[in-house]
Amino acid sequence: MAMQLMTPRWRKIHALVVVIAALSVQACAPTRPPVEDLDNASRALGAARSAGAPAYAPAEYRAAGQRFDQAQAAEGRQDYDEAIQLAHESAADSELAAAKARLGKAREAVQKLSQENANLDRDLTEHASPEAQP
Amino acid sequence: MSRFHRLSAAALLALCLFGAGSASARNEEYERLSDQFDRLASDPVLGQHATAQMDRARAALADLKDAKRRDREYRAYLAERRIGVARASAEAEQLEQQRDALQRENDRLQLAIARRDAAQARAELERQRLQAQIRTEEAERAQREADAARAEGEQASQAAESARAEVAQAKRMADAQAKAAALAKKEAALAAAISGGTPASADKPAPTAANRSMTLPESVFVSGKAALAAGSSKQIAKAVAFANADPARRVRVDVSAGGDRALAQQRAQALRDALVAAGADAKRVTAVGSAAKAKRVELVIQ
Repeated sequence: MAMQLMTPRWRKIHALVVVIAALSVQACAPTRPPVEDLDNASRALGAARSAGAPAYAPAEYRAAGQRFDQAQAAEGRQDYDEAIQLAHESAADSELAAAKARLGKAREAVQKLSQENANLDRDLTEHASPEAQP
Repeated sequence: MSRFHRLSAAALLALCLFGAGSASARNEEYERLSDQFDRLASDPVLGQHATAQMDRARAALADLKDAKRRDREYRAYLAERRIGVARASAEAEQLEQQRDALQRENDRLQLAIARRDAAQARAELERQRLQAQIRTEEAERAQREADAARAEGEQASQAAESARAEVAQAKRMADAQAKAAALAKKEAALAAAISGGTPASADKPAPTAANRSMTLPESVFVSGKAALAAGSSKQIAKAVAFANADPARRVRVDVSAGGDRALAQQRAQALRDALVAAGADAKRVTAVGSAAKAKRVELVIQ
């Protein structure tokens, strides 16, 4: 008797769980394309290119480009959740590439100036100024 | 019931094991990245830089810590890159500070070199100015010397000119003297010709009537030689006057020297040369030396 009464209630609960689960999945997954995220990723990629990343951080720049392509592909198949994450990852790659480009440039500048200063210093020491002149 | 409970217990155990395993995996990844970030943040030099990027890396780590299982990989990816950005940015800032310090040093060195070069240029200019001054002074001195030399040269040329004038004058005087001498000779010869008929001393030549000849004393020659004696010029002048008295006729110098024909010929030739030198016409005077025993010096008009 008791079991007979229990069975329909279990079914109701299961049905409720299924409905809630379906609703929550629907709520979690974005319904619109992540235009802003892709746009940010694209801008970050452009900034990295401008910063000289293709020359100074080719691996990171390449990774950023690949992630961006994957994000666009995910968007194309309306896998927006995946597209958002890939876009964020691409942007992070682009930022890393840009930071490494900045680092590489700073390193080059330091090397160049160190060399130049050493030469100037030697020039000054070897060809002393005619200070002694009246 | 007991079966249901067993199943439930098994499910719970499995869930716990799985949850613990996944939690430890998450913690491992988080710990790794957190260590990585802590090393960077606690670095005495780099920790002071790129504070904004450090904050973002810290936030990304917190997101990873709280991430749901399915987001964990994604959050770890982001956190690792944010930490990388923070490190690269901190290193870049540190190097940029170094670069700026080097640039200031570079500016200082460039300025020092520019000053040195300017000082060198000034010194060079001063040196050139001194050299130019020295050259000018040298040129002026050379100019003065040249002027002096030119003046001296003018004096010298004047002296040379006056010397030349003197020479010319002397020549004219010599010519005049020679002319005077020649005239005197001529006069003497004419005087001699006029007084021709009257026999004078034995020295005086006197042309004979027939062949019109003039005899000169043997003393016109150096004894025993063909050379004319020192005091023979008067006799020579008279002989020239005699020879020139009739320009249409030829004159033969006729010499004999006591049978020495060679000496006679040499004396005749010497006398002829002396006559020509003193003004007789060379074409009209011939010299003949004879082997006659007599000692005779004679001019014969032919």
